[in-house]
Amino acid sequence: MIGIIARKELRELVRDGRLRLVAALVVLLLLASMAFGWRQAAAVAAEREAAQRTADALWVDQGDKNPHVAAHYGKHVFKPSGALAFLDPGVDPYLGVTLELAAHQRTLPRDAAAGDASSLARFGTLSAATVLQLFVPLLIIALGFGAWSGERERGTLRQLAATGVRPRQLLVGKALGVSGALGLVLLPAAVAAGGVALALGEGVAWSRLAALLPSYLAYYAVIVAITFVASARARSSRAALVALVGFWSVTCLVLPRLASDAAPRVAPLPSPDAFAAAVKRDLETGLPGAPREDRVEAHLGALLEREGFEGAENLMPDALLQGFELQAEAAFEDEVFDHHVEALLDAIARQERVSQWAAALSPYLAIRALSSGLAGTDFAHHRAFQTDAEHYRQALVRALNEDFARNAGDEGWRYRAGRDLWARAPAFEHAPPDLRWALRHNAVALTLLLAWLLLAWAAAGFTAQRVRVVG
Amino acid sequence: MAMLEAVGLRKAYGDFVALHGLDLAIEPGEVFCLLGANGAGKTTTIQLFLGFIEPTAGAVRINGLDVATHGLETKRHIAYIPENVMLYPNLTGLENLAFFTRLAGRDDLDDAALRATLIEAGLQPEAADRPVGGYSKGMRQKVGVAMAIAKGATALLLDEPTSGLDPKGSNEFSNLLVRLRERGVAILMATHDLFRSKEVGTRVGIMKHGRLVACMATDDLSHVDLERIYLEHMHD
Amino acid sequence: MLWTVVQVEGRNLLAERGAWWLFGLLAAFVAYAAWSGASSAAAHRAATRAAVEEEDRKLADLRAQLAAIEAGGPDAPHAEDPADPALVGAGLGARAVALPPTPTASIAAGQRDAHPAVVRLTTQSRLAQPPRGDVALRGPTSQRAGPFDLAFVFVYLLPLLIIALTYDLLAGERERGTLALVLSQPVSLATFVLGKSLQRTMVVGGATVVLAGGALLLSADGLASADGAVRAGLYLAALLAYATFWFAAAVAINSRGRSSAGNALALVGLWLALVVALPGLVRVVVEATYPPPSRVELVNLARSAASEIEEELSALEGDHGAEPDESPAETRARLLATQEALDARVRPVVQRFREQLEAQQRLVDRLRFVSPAIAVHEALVDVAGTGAHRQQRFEAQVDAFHGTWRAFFAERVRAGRPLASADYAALPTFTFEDEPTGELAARVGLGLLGLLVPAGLLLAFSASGLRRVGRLA
Repeated sequence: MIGIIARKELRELVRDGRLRLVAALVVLLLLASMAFGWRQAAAVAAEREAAQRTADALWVDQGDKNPHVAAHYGKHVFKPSGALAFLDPGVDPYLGVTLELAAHQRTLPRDAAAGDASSLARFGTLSAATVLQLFVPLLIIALGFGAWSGERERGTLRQLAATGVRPRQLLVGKALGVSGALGLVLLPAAVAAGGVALALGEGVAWSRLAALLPSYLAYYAVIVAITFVASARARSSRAALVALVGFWSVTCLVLPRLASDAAPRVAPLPSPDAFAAAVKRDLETGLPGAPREDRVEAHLGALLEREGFEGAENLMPDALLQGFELQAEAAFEDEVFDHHVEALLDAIARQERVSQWAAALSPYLAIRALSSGLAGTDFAHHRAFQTDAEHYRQALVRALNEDFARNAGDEGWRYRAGRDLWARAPAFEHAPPDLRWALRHNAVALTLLLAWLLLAWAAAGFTAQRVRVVG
Repeated sequence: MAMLEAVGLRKAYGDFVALHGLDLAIEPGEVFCLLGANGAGKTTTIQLFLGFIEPTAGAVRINGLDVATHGLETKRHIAYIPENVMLYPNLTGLENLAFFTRLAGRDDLDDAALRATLIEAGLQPEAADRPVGGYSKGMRQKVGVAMAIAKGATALLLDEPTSGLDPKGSNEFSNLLVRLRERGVAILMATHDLFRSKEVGTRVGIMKHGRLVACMATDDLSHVDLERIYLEHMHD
Repeated sequence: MLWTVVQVEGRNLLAERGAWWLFGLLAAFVAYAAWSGASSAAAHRAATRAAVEEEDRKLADLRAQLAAIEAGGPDAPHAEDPADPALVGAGLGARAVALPPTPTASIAAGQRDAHPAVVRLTTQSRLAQPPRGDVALRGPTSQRAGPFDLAFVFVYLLPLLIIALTYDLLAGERERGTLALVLSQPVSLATFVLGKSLQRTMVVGGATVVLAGGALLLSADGLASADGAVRAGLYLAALLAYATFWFAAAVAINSRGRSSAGNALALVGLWLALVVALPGLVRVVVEATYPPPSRVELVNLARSAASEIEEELSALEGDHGAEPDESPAETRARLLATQEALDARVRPVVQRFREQLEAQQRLVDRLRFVSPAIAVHEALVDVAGTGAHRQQRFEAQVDAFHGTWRAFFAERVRAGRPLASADYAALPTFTFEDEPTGELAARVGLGLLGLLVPAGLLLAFSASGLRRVGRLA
């Protein structure tokens, strides 16, 4: 029974010339945006790899110098782009990619692509994700707004009801029909996405790609159910259509912007000046309740104890003590940086969570967060990169200071290390977190999407039981 | 001169011919009832008089003016009452009447005159100020008649105006038509109602497959004769 | 005749509860956007003013300190000597410059958030060391969605309101059956449709002017100037032209004689194409045609240029690498020269950036005629002064001013002449030369043609459809 209904629905949809045209346009747009994303992702990956090689070479070829001076010179690292950025660039364009790692400073990534965009940037990017998240729901609405109301207007719903078909069967049949039509649109896209992922080569996150598929299907199932509810309850097809387009524009246009305005009010960030001033102040005086001198002293004490020089400062070679002092100072500075930068990143993360919670009002926001999380292009992934880089920076500075302490001897500041030492520093590697980590960081969005799914289908089932057969 | 006139009127949609050279002339004070099965060409004829569709050959004239060339002028003379008079549901009967009368170019009529017309058309006085959304079909048809009266139409085009009305409503409507006929209005009415055709019509015509196959004056006919002739023509 | 249609249409609309909801919603959105735009514009204004004043205050402090020393007071510590032009120029003092907001800045945030609000100028190379990773005030997801400003409400939502009011302009009459009665009257279909759409255009146009004008009055800062008045006028003109375009599109689609649901789908499709898809595609085309050079390569370029003078730089960063056999004065002159050399090395690449971005904007100026949404958006950011043209103008002027600022100190460093407190009064100041209002009006006016010409074409197109009455009745 269900199969018969589904086949009839699909046949009706496929025979509609205008729908065919629209579906073809969506497929075209999807493939074009994916091709563009592919080009972009390949170019970005090549560019960053090349830049990282140059930066590493600059580090190794910096010439002979005192190790601590080399720590001042520092090293640049570049953020590798997200695993599936070609599908969903997420918030990557708004995040910095260049990080300068050097002694006495913890910087924030800079050179976000958004800084160099034309004034069209306000319209957003036309990525595959845009098409999948914004356009396909409208296609579903176009496919399904008349599913019930149209039958009622034509009078065929009466005849269907008279055959004794159960409402639930009708509902499932119609849903399958619309899904079939949608599948015809999405199948080429899914194949193309797999192809591009394969072509981009190493580091393909197949598990992430595989997780994206059910996420999008769940999103579309929500839209199908909502479309059916509107179609069954509305006075007429046109009323259903108007209501659905209204729902789409509120959830896909208005709410994201309202959430965007609400986020800084919920979790305000310090102004750039205030942030810099606070860091500078605390570097000079120490964090509240932990004066600078005390902390440096404590770090130095711990260091001396660990190295077995406790109470023997006067007997130590000057350079060794100086090296330890440099390291104690660096440890203090890291405390200050960690305190301020982590507070800042926490505030940004809270802002991101506001957007995720807003998904309670908009399924679009749920899939937007989930999709960029799975694509590895959300803020959580960016923060993971920053954390890795900071650990690397601290280790690098520590190694250089220790080399100074141990090997300077009588030369003191005149001591020079060379290429051997620079080359011994390991290359910076950032392995993107795995799928489970990504899901955990988008648990809110995932839960809300599932809640939408359950509620929308419960409403669709409820409505189908009580659908008016005659207008 | 005939008020409504069709000369060699032909309408074809591709290979399908809806009307094969119709000749028809309706004088003032005459009610011509078009009978015939569904798809015989009755509605096509009326739509040609209204200028909603263009003839493939031949001409339609209203008060001597060709509809094809003088579309807007011819509409000053006519009123049209379809099977369902559809009005703006949010406006009252009076407001609807005022709108259509003004569109017809009669902006000299005030509300009192329009209200009187509605009452003349048989609408209960208290209904005039209610939104049309709550009107019955019969009430809407009465507003349609009031529109014809207020406009001062000299020709009336009716497309099955009584189908779906209850016998009392149908009777009231017929009486209105008789009154208009007596004022010298030329009326062309497509209908399935043989009984009413005999009652109000001065002539009846029977259409079949786009041809006017019979045409006779009602004075010479009894109800029984009319029904017999009609059924004879309906046999193939 | 026309007026009769307009009147009845008005009464019909008044009786429509949905229409009241729509207008109420639009009013609420506009009010919120005005408030939000005004508060973020005010916050931006306050933040830049504070930063500029902070640097001015520091310079004033240095001057007062120097005056005290000149009057015989105790010397300042060596590293904070307000008489040393090298130290003051290298960062002890700085000039903070900012793009001043226009009176109408609350209309559109534009690219305001994408650029540092304040630029601090010292004798250090500006090109080789762009501001360190700037703390944005919004998280990335908020930046991506963009703010809820007036430009958003009018570019995205106003057309949807117009579509909701017009998709059944003619189709609704036909489906209700009233069209046949209307056309049996001596009134032409074109007159009827014109009357209906005129009424709705007047209502929506009136509402737009009242809401948009009111929003601007409440959120603007200093509209009373000639420049402010011109900007306000252009803003309202752009919105009316945009609304006109959408009405013309609705009439054109209604004239095809489809069902009202079909019209609604076609109009929403058109909206999606013009407001969402085309701007995205145009952006792709623009960025692919004039790709900016890679920022990450610039980082390495600046670094390798700098690494050749790394020894000198390390002296500034700490005391660990001081060259013993050079006098401090010589070191300073040489450091200044290296900063200048660094700028010279990087300038070609930075110049290429600017050229590409300017070329992008020129292409956008041409391609805005592809979609009315782009045309009106460009007009709005131009009027708000948050668009690329003004930003690029600012960049160029800052660059020139940076040269002046550095020359002031370089001259004294090279001559070994210390700063006197009187010199502080002669420090160069920065005033932004805004684009002449006439030029702005010409560019925005041209953009409005990009709205009105398609509107005219659409109406001409619908005239042909409206002549074929039969198909529609």
